[in-house]
Amino acid sequence: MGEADVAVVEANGSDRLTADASDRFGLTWQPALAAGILANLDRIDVVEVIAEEQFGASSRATRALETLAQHVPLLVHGVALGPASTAPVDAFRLEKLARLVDRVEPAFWSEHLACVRAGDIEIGHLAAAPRTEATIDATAANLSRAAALVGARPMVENISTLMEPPASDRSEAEWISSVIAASGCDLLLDLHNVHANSLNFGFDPLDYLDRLDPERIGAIHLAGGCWINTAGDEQRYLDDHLHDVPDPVYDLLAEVGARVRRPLTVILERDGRFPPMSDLLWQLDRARAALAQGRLRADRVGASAK
Amino acid sequence: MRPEFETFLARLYTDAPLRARFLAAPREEAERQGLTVVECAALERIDRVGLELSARSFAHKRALTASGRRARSWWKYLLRY
Repeated sequence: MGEADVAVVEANGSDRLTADASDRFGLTWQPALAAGILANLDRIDVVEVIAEEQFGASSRATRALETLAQHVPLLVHGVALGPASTAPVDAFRLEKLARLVDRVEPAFWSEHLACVRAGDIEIGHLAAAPRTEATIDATAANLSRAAALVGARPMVENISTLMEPPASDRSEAEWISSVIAASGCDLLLDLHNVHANSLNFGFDPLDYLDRLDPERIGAIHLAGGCWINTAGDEQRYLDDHLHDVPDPVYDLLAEVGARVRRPLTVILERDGRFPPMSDLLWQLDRARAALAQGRLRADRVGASAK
Repeated sequence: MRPEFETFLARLYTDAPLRARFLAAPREEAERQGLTVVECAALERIDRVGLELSARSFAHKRALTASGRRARSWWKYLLRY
């Protein structure tokens, strides 16, 4: 049993453990979860909305989003800007993001450190950019452009990848840290992506966490995935958002709690194969317990050092 | 990294015939595309399994987007709330 499991057992056994009062826990908005989210706003502190799903929305859908914002703090999460590219980010997309942010007034907006298009080719999803000095500079420039047009810096998210990007000359953690430093953006740390990449490319996820500046971690994503087979009898782990959060990810969340002192926003991402809402709420409770357990551990270490 | 390299990677992800030619002879195909010696060398060492899986994953995502599988009428839940 991992430390996070111990914490959740304690949580279920007596008073529910709570993370720092300012920590927030929530879900990504999904049509299939709408009724469940709205019925459980006493246990959901924040809701993440995918930006691209709101672009071109009808006036009724826009009104509905504004209604949602009256009931629960919203976050706007972009999936298609693609700032990790040598090409400038698309001004038209940025304008749409800016209008959405103006309308919804989210607690923050976020985007992935990924390349999604090059030349006139749409890749279709999030591709890892080669980890070089050139892509650090280009990504920072794109994030600066985005911040200027939207009116707020995005939090930027580490992505999962099934392939080490060719021509890379540094580790993922080094590249992420450099982008954070160069851009001034805070990190939305996706712990399942760290878990998935650590399994696929054989690094220690704790070493990865140690290489990040804890003061620059502002939010957390949790998700699940599965192993997939290749034609050559090899396996890789896919971040699919279709499975429950695996145990090692809760353990990583406890490790984050032990390192990060600032309040965190923790979002559970689930895009399909939806379990009952009670299961998702239980996973959120388990996340609360894991983060609280990590913070408690840091407090004890701090107290014993005095 | 040059934009040309980034574009070639995007083509490898999305163009199955090009990917097959590339995997059969990486350096030759990269050279044919006008990439530099350093870029060709990097592509020669590419993670071949990862490339195929990534291409498969991106194709799946593009198909989902094209089919508009994600429901767009989520707001109906809210208007009833």
